[in-house]
Amino acid sequence: MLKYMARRLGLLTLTLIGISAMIFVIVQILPGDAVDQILEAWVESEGGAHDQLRKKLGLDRPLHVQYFTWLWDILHGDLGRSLSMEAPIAPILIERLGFSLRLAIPALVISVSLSLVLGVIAAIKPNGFLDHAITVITLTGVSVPAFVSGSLFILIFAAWLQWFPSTSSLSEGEGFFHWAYVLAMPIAVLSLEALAHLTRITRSSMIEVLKTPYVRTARLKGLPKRLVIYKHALRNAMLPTVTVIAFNIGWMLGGVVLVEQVFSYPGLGSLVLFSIEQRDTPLLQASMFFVATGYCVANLVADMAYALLDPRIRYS
Amino acid sequence: MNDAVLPGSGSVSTPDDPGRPVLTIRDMHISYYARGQEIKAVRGVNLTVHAGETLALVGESGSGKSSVAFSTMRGLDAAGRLKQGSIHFNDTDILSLGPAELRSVQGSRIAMVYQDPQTALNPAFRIGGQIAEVVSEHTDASGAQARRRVLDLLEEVNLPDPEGVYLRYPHELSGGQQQRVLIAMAFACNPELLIMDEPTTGLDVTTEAHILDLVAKLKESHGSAILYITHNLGVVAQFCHRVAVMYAGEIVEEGPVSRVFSKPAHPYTRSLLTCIPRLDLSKHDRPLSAIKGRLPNLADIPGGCVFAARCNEREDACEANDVPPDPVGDDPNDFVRCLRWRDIPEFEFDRHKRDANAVRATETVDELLEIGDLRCYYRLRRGVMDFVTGSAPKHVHAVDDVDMKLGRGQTLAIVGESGCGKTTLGRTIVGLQSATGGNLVFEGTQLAGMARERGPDLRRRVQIIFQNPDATLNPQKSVGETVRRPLELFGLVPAGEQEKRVADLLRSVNLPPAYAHRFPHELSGGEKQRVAVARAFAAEPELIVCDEPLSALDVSVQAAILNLLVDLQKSSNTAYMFISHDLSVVRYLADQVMVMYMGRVCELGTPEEVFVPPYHPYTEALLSAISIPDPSIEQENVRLEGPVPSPINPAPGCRFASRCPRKVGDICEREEPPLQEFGTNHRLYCHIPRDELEKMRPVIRYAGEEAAVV
Amino acid sequence: MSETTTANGSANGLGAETARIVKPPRQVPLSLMIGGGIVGMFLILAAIGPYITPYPFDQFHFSTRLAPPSADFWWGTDRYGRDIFSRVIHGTRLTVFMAGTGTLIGVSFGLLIGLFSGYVGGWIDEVLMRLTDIAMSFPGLLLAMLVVAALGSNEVNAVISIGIVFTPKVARVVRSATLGLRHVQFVEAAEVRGESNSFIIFREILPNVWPPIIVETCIRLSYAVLLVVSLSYLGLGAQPPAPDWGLMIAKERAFLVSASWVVLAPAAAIVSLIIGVNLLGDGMREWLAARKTADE
Repeated sequence: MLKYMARRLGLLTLTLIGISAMIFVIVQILPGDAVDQILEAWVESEGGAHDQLRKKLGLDRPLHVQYFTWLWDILHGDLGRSLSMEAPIAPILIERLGFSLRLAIPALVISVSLSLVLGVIAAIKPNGFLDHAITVITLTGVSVPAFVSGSLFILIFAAWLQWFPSTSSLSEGEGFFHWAYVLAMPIAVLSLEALAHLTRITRSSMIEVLKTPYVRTARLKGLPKRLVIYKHALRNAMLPTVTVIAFNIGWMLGGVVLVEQVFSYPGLGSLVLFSIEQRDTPLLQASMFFVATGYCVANLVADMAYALLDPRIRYS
Repeated sequence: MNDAVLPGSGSVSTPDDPGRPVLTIRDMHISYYARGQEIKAVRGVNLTVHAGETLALVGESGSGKSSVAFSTMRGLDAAGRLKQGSIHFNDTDILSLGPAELRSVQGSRIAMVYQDPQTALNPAFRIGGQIAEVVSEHTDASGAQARRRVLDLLEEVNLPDPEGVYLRYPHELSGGQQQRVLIAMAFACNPELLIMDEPTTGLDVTTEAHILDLVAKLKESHGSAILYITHNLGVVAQFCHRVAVMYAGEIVEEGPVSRVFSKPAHPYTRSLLTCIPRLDLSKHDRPLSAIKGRLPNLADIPGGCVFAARCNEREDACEANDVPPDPVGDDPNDFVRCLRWRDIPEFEFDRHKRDANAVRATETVDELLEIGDLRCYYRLRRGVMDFVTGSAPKHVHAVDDVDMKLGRGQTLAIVGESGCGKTTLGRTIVGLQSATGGNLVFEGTQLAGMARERGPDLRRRVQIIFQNPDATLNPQKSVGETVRRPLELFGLVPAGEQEKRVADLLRSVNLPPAYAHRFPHELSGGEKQRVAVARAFAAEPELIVCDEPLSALDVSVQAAILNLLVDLQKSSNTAYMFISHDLSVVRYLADQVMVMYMGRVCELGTPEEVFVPPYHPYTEALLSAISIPDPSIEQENVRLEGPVPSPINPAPGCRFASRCPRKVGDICEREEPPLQEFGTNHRLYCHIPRDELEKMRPVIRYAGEEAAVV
Repeated sequence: MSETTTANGSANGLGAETARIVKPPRQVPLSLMIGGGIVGMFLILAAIGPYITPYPFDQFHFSTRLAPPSADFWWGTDRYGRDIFSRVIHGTRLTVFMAGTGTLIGVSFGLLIGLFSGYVGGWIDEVLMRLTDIAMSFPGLLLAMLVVAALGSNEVNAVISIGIVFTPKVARVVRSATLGLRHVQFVEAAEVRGESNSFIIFREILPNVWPPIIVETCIRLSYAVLLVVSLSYLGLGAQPPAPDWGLMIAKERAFLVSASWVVLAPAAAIVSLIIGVNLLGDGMREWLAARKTADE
């Protein structure tokens, strides 16, 4: 197990270096550079201003030097300065991450726990009434983009029923209940899609597992149905679900961009969008790297969970 | 004739008085539903298992035997349904039990052992827990008591280190050990009835012998009745009291083992007994008797006798009327369902007795393939830690210093259990992997490692036939395309004549030329294997490596393919390198036999030399472990103890030393066994002194005789 | 054909062996039919849509801004008085084309990389798979956003970004299907014959990986629609005045409450297209699985 973890950690490091290089390269393709952005405001800038600023920002150096400087700084916790906000990036990212996690963590907890229940219910009697009902709901769930479901939620729950606010501003109050009130809709939207994906996976892997010889063995041992299903079958059926949970974390990181946009919520996703719109390259680079790292770590955790659930990996 | 000697090791004796019935099945009908079609898998089966007896239910694939077994425990899978019939366990009507009552019977009073132990155990839980849960479910045992009981059970099934096994996961055990675990689980609550569904299929013969010994012992001490499902008549002869033969969903014959094996009445039973080559039959004697045709379509059963279409004794009446059970003796449980069994000549095994000393003079043949000191090692991947600690790289020694020669038109059989390196050797010869060292000379030309590095002509001359008929053909290519490809690739036949050549090739493997338009999924297993044979012969090869080509086929189909291989060899003078674990098949087909153990050659010679003393101790154990469906044959009881050693960086000395029942002493573990030659070309690698080897007793004999059956 | 075969067989005295197992017609799953129907309808709309709409998609009707659905404007009008029905129908072509092309790019490259990487193996496989690891470390939408940000926001770049996002994922699926066939006996038989790599990859392996590829393509297609509309919703895809569904929702969002049809109409189009593609994928998977078991 230790060996396995060490190997995974080594791979993660390599992947992160690859990610940083990829982000750096893609961002370099961006038309114009930061200097153009900054100087855009000074319509009639003097001839030398560009070069001076370039020099100051270190943009006159060869690309590979710029890349390694950037990487070196990241390793030391220095994510650089945002051009448009004129502030260090790290604190901004941390703050925005906090906001996004307030959406993502509850959504993850809700979707994972509910999906296991729904998936098992659907799988116990495939093609039964409950299975069909769940299939229809999940199919709709995976087919509605977050910005569409978000708009519908606003229309129904904010405009018509007036249960929840249509924008999720955290500044107007404090405390758990205020948060729950403000964040209920974005969390619901975010959960819905993940829930649908996870339920589909749990259902199909549960159906497969219920057909296996070892489940039949458990049944013919005379064990009660609940033991057969929740101990012998679910334990194995959860393996693919774990992988998909990690995938869904990534999906949620994408989903938050849309959800945050719909509910005008200041999370990590809207920061990425903001940096693209502002052509704030240091901010874009840093926030992308931040998100990708988070996704990789989530995958790593999922792999570890997989290994814990599956002794065949744990002991190899 | 009346008191035919009882089977095999003679450990089975008929219970003096037939006990009370433990299991009574009446008029059982099982159907499977697939795509709006009803497959009538089991029809009108009656079966009674008495207390303390072992009843064998024998049949080939598709006979419905496993469906009967599972429905007895109400464990059919979702696609299957028990349509009609009654199942009584003692006086309990199994079909009327509620869920809770049913559960109290399942696993405790009726238990089951499954075919594939690896998939029957839950990979996510430890062994101990999986057995303990049976104990806690069915008894009032506390946690500690259940644990104690499980440890006792693990001890009872002869697993070494029960405490250790208790904590292990299924994937950490070998196939044989996993099956022991399932047996321990089955005996956990002293079941009155044990259902065993092909419990030894997929295990090596020596492991199989151990498992059967174990079940016999446990049955004795627990007094359980056993319903034993198998396709292996040899095991039945050794192990069971009564036998019911199933064909296409019906029981065609039932009776005491002694009667059925000495006087089989049904033509199907007779064919089953004769289509398997026995150790006294060689290809030079006569062709095997195969069963023609294939299983009827179970969705559309013709009236009359189900076997009529494939039966050599068929009359018009057979297809017209249903065939009722006809008692053979006084016992109602001794019957046959055949209209003609009284008219057909009495069954007799044609036994070949030959003087083993008068070995056929070895014909002089051109040498085709010569292998010298061949080694195939796999290097294991080194982990990061291995680099840190600087430990030496590890190698799996799959094939180690193998020497052999194969003559043109000859058959060399390579036998051994799984992991002995026989498949690796075959793959190396055809160029699917390259050797680590040694020589591979084909007609004076050194063969390059991988096939692609060899010239087209060399590639053409060496072909291969694989084991699994379902994977051997590309499912997306028609039979014609598959067979035509070698013609095209090697430019053997001009394009215009290829179609005709394909038709000829199909005819030569007894398939109608119209099969060229079919796709693999439209063929039966035997037909697919015939196409594979046609594809190999299309290249007009001089050597074909046959990698267990029969092991996935039913016995009746095996015989037909074996006959085909013999015929084709006669007409084309192609040499075979025949890889197999089945000693009877090897005996029939081979001109030379090579016995391998863990990458090394143990013994090499003609079948008449290898199957007769002096033996290598490993050959002796293999011969002892095979089961022969002939009650007049006696077998020595040699069992291998100890675990199979690791093939990774093996210790010096004889590889077989750790399990050898005839180990001489420390020398076996220190020094490579020397070559001892007997006769012209019988080679044996062993430390046992020559005179002792010569004094060995034949393992397989006709009852009352001393000479080896060969 | 089966009758001829049997006749031939009998003539050869091989009657029993040729007795053919009668197979019933394969049932097409309901989901495949419904999904196929929906997708087919959208394809037809994409082809003929611009010719059947009552108004051009960009025609302003200033007198009837934000008009509710009526006989003149079936699904109402937007803030410039443009006919929403005409815009949604026009938008079909754009969405279907963008999603389809993006999927095609991703599947084609992924297929080639996956087949090659899976069959050839070795260090090439290792390198390619590490590269896909890196590309897959970004959530799909974010990677697409990054690519579009670099290349510029328009339809073509949105399509390219979808291709880039999909390629590694498809490559992974195809590679694992290829690996599964790498040591199957009919492939080894071809190696023993000495067939070339390209023969083995394209003639032996490829025909057998179609089923997973088809299923994966359906899954990808539904994600592609999702990505197309999401990108344009974020302003990173088609630009105004294009009648893109996502863009319509984004631009008319302010009127969600007062004139809900401006959002509901394109939303309905998006959801029904994606449901159709998903049904098609589910049905295809079921159908191919049933075919496979039937063949065995």
